[in-house]
Amino acid sequence: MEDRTLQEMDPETLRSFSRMIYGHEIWLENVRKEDGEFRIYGLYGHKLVPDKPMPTDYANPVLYDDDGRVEDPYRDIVNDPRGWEFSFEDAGADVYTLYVDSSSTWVTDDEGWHRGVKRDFSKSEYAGAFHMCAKRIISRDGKKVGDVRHAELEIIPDSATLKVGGKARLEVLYEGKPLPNNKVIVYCRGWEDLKTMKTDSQGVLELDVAEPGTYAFITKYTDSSKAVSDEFDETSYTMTITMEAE
Amino acid sequence: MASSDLDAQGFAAASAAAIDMFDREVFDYIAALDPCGTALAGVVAHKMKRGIIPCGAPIPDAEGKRFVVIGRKLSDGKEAAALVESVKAAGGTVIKMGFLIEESSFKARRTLLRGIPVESRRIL
Repeated sequence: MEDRTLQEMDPETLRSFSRMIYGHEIWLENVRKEDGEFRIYGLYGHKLVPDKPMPTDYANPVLYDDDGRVEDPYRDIVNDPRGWEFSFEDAGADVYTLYVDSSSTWVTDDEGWHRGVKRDFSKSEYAGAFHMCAKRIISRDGKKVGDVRHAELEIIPDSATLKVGGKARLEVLYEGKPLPNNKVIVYCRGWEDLKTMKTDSQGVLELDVAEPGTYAFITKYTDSSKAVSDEFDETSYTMTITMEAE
Repeated sequence: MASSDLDAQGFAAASAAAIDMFDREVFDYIAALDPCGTALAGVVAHKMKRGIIPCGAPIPDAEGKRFVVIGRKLSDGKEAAALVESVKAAGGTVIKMGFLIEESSFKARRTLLRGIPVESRRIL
């Protein structure tokens, strides 16, 4: 982070900074199949480095198959990596789409950040509702992505896996509509730094995929029209999709 | 850790582990399963300004309250499951359990405690 005071930060960076302190990002990785079940780690940290298991009320796995929503996956806390593991039986669908969907409200006052709503803190300076979502597409042929739209802020890739030497193409949607000129943070494990990109005028992001590995695409959007006067001032959404490049 | 005693260094490490397991959770009470758990629950309750239910103490009327549970060792999970039932009978919900040690051969997570997230610092 550049050397700037909190007052000098633009609001979006300030919100991100607050989440880095209290929430980081959540993401899904290392899909594998064991004993007829898919198992996936749900991790919480920054730059694909897990910190510790996300809070229990963040770890809400939601699963869709080709025909719609199915039973929620089983969840468990694991030590290596430190985080959650979600598992579900492979019933033969072509595409499974797994989300981890969290929501929380944070308030800041002169003592720092607290979970809660505005009315609980007499000196509240800012309160935001934060929806953090992680998404992973598990596709039998590695290409089909299905047509599930679960979250308000969505990232829809055109293929379930990335190809080294090819292009990643992803569409960012908010409430089902393309989100033009919206920031997307891209990170591949092993990169030194995050790459900050923007969607084009059609809400599409394209990236040259130069190396193999796990890629995370993180986008955020804040809707100031979604406020509740005595609870929070605005609603902020974060979506992270992880994909493998081979 | 062969016994339930902890020296100063061990207690410091166990206290740090207990705080680390629960400091981002949203809950009203921390309940203890054993004497070691009571000591650690005190540390967490003090740090996070939450209520505490010492080992063996009755669960108060807990309608709508959220509980976490801490103990030294998870084995077959019978005592832990009984505490979960007591909390439920009082109207509360156990949202997470934390242990310093877990004997995984008993598979308590997948049987008696199924559906309740369990975090153990050391899994045997």
